[in-house]
Amino acid sequence: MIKTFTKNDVLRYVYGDVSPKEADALQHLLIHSKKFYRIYCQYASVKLNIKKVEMEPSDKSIETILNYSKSFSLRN
Amino acid sequence: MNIRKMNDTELVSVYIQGNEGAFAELVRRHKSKVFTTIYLIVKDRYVAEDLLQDVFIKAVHKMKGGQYNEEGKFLPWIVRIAHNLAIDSFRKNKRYPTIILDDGMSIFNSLSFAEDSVETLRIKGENESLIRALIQKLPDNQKEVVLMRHFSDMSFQEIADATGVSINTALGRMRYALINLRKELEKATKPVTHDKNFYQK
Repeated sequence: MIKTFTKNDVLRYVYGDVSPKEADALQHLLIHSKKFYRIYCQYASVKLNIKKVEMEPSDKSIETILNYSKSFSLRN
Repeated sequence: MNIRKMNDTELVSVYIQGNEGAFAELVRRHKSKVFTTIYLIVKDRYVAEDLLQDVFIKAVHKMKGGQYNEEGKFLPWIVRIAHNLAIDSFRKNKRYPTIILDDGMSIFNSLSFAEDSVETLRIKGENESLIRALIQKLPDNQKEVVLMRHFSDMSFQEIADATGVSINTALGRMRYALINLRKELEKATKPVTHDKNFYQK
């Protein structure tokens, strides 16, 4: 039986949330379907944009956390 | 003992036995994701810095107190703590919006603390800040899925289980979040055009 793919399947593929067998089938779909390839490109580009927003906390906050842990260990 | 090569479960176990280097490695690995999750909820860098400290202090107490049992899933565990503390703080600040600085001044007297609106960020062309602002504007159920997937490294099935919905609902929420973000980003990057009828030569 031929599996019918949906937009949710494309999304799972973009996020690497598929089995190797599903990945092969979805790659085949993306090569042959303009509609699904366009959807794939849309999801993938926004995913890349979200990845860029990760922020670093200040060194001071990290120092406070590490010092707290050390003093907590000494007390207990 | 090479701490850098250990997985999170091993690090937690070594830390509980007294190795502070293991805790430093856990913080190094996950500080950005935890911090970003908090920031995207509270929308204030200074509040996010304070909450980050609270989150890791709570984690220290739980790990040392024998309450950590997430078996290799340290990141989703600590992000969940972060999410809960950030939501509590956000709700509290919504009820009592006046923030007083160390010197006793209201935060509204300090313009540098003011958060830029989406419109201002569009004009400034600050892409990363703009995306952050757009994520913050997403409906709560869509934002939750984005945060869990991107900053907790949870699978869609784990997200569905954690939020009590079916996997198709979790996937649908993520799709709508991506579509909304894409639309807003397109609007933001569109060049400003003048009304040709109005600005005739």
